[in-house]
Amino acid sequence: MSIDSPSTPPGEVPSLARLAYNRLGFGPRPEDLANLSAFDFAGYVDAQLAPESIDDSACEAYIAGLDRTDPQGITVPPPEASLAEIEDYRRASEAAGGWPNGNLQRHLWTVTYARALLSKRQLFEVMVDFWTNHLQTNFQSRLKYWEDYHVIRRHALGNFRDLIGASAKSPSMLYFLSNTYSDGANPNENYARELMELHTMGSYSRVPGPGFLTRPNYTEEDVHTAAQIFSGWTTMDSPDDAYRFNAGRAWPAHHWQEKRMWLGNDNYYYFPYGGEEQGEQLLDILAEHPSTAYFISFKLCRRFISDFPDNFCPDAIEVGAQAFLSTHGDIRATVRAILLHPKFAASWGQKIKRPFEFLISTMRALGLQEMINFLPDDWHDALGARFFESQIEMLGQKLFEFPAPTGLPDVRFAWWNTNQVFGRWTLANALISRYFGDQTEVDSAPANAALDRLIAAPATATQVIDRLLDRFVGRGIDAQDRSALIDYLGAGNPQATVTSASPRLRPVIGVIAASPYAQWR
Amino acid sequence: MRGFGITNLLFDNHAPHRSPASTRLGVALSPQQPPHQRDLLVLIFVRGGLDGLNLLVPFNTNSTDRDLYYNKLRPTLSVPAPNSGATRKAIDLDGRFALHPDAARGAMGVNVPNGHASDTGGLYELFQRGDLAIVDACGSPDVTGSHFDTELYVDLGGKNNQGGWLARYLDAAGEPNDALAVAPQWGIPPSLLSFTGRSAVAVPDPENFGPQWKTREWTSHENASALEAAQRALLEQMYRRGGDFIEQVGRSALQNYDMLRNVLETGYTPSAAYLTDESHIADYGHFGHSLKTIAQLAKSSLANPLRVATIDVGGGYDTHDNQGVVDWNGNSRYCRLITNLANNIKAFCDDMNADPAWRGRFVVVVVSEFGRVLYENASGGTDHGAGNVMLVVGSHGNIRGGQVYGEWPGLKHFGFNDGLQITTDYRRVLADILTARMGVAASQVNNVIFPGLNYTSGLGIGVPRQPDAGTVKAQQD
Repeated sequence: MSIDSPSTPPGEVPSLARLAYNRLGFGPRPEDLANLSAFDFAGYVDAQLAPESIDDSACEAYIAGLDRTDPQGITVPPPEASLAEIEDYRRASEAAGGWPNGNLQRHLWTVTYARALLSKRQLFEVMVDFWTNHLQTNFQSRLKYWEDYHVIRRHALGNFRDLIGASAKSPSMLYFLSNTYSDGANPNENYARELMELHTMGSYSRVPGPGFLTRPNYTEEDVHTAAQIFSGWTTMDSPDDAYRFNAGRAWPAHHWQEKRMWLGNDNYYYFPYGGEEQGEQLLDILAEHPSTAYFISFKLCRRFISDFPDNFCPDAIEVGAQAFLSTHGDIRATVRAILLHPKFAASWGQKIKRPFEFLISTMRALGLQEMINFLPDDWHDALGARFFESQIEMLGQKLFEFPAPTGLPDVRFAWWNTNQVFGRWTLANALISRYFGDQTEVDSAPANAALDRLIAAPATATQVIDRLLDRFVGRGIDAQDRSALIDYLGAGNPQATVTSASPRLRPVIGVIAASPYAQWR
Repeated sequence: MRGFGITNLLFDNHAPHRSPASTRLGVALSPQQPPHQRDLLVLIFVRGGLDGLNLLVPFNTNSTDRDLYYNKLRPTLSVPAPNSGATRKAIDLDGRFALHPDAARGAMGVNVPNGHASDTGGLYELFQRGDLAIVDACGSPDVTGSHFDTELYVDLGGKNNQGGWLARYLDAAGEPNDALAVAPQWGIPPSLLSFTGRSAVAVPDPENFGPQWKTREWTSHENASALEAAQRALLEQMYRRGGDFIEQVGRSALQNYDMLRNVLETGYTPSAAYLTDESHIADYGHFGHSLKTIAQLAKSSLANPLRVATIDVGGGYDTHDNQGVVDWNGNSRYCRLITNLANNIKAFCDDMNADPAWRGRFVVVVVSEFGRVLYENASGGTDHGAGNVMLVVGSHGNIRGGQVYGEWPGLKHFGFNDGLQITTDYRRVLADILTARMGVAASQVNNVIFPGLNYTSGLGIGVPRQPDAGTVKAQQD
């Protein structure tokens, strides 16, 4: 067995509709499952790629109605806030002894999770997560709050050049990769390197053919030159940490000169004498570089199709890259080409849920309508925001916190181990307890109307298990496993009547959520 | 493929629920503890690129290095030489190299501001008593300017290898598939990624290992245990086949649950002070806690003894800006990073050595993906370089410590990325330890663990093991 051909789950393969809800979103909600036989995959992809034409007013109203009061009683600005509003909040929060970065991050968690849970624009939310990691920055700086709305969300399904252009000038990125401190005389090359290695071309050529993954896309000299070019792209001496080009920092002798870069080619790219426009020119070149098209397509294929796209679906990478090249970086066209490639439909078992997908898909399968609000400091509450924050942290996918510019890994080995087994089991139980009431006794449980709706109570143990398996798994499972679940729930009687007051209902839902069947994406 | 192939020796198939507390506490001492044939290897990977040049300062390597290069290249960041007039300055090791003062906190004559109970001499004390070997100018032949590529290549033991080198070591040593390998953190690094079905255990929080039953109302321990047991039986049913990656990992996690929880729930009082106090360090205490967990697992009487452990240490070693000088209160970024490393490694050694069974039977190796550029940048930091120090820490004569190894390349000629030239392949240092202390032959190193290394004899750091008559032969060896 090799790393490139991981074992896939035995047994039935789920429908394309299931795969679509799992991969293009955060798993099906009960209402999604009502009319699966009429599901039109191509139509769904196109509809999801036009999020602006999807009515999402219920979700928007939910977001707008969230309580944004922080532990000091100050109102966190809304997600669309300007840099000036964020700065005002920082001052007010600090003056009150608060923790502005933490509160902004916590509200952004609430909003991000709530959208994943409730938004009908599921693919858009997945793409926001994709670019958030591709252009990783974090809440070391409060400016991440601004970046999420004004850079990532604004361009998530737009044009790639616009996206990296906005990222290059995003104050959060300028701090995260140190470019804000860079100076023409002695430039900091952190951003310049990661722009080429992680954001665009990749270290080695990803264009198929000779040189694939062996020919470097840039030399160390190119890195130094790129760092010179971006010196002066800064937030220094700028109101509210907004971007500006500060020629004073770009020392004339070093910045204001002609430059040459090779970028994996035999002939050099020439940069005429200039200031900020040299950086724009470099971004243009990188956005159009063939290796960038293949690298972005590779990463999208890894997100949507397989942990190992070079082996599993090189032809899907190819169509994605061609779409990217022919449209000059149109993200929608690239995603569409990849999703409609036949390898997508054939990719069951190639991806597992990461903690983010596990959390939200469990909540969606439970039909929940309300997200945990992460702002209050509710340490007293055993099932409050702070408990869920610590649990999410233990699972390793605390959003907007990853310190490395790679973004979080997107392959199974990073997301499934002892810790994940126990952590997901704990998280599933905690969600059920929080939303459907405590599991205080073994022999009795409190009735709960939402839980009764979930299982269409009253129903037999067999009916309830089948219903839950439909919600959480969506494919036939091992017959012995199904019998064991029914046997437990009905205490040996498959026809036993089950309601929300049945003591074994909540534990059995937790088991199904934590089962191997529910971990595949 | 990584799975959790650890056979559970305490697990009883007929009683799959957690055993009652009374029996859980009564775990018998195992004669396999510590492992008979080899030492415990603890690999510490400093992620981010440790600035080795300010940890091991070349204050007197030759007449030009210090005056013409080190101070000139690092006008603000250089660590004051031992013979300088500074209050806080490097401490001389061998007349050529000196240690950063925060690697020697608590050593005689070292000024220690902002003191802590873990200030017991740090790396300096280990060096003085012969338990620390330092190898300078080490690095990977696959070094690039990228953390991520270079870290991966180091984890794999070579760019083109399949799977992690630590996992291949366990293969080569003939360890059973259930040999216990632990990463006391939430994720398992690629060095333990196995293609032969072996697996590692992540223990992020020893006090809360396993599922936690959370309710708002009071749930009796009895009820929570019963609920958990019922769930666990069903999960064991569903994971029992181990038919795919998800099931394989889950099955082993459930099987090992009793054994590890028995150990971790009994609590642990270390015999040394670890440094986990956020006022001194910047990694939220992860490193100190992780080392303590390793000591706890090693010293506990596991039926399946701990064979290798690895920790990723972070907290800001990628010092591109505001790296920090040797400030008066030891509170700069770099000072805190070094204090965290040095105090906790020393604490781990003291903790382990306090148990006679472990004396001379463990080796700690510290590696980072690359060192940093010889000169500082305009942001008061250092960018990605090349050659770096490696630390090998032993116990009671199992290594030849108290010396600085490696061929010093000097600062005059810059290496890759303007870093220190690499003169020693880091794998040769590891091979030294593996062959001398870890029960594998050079041929296994060259064929299995580091294919293509062509290791014949190394630097002589490891002292070859003698057969110890006093230990009961391990049942599984």
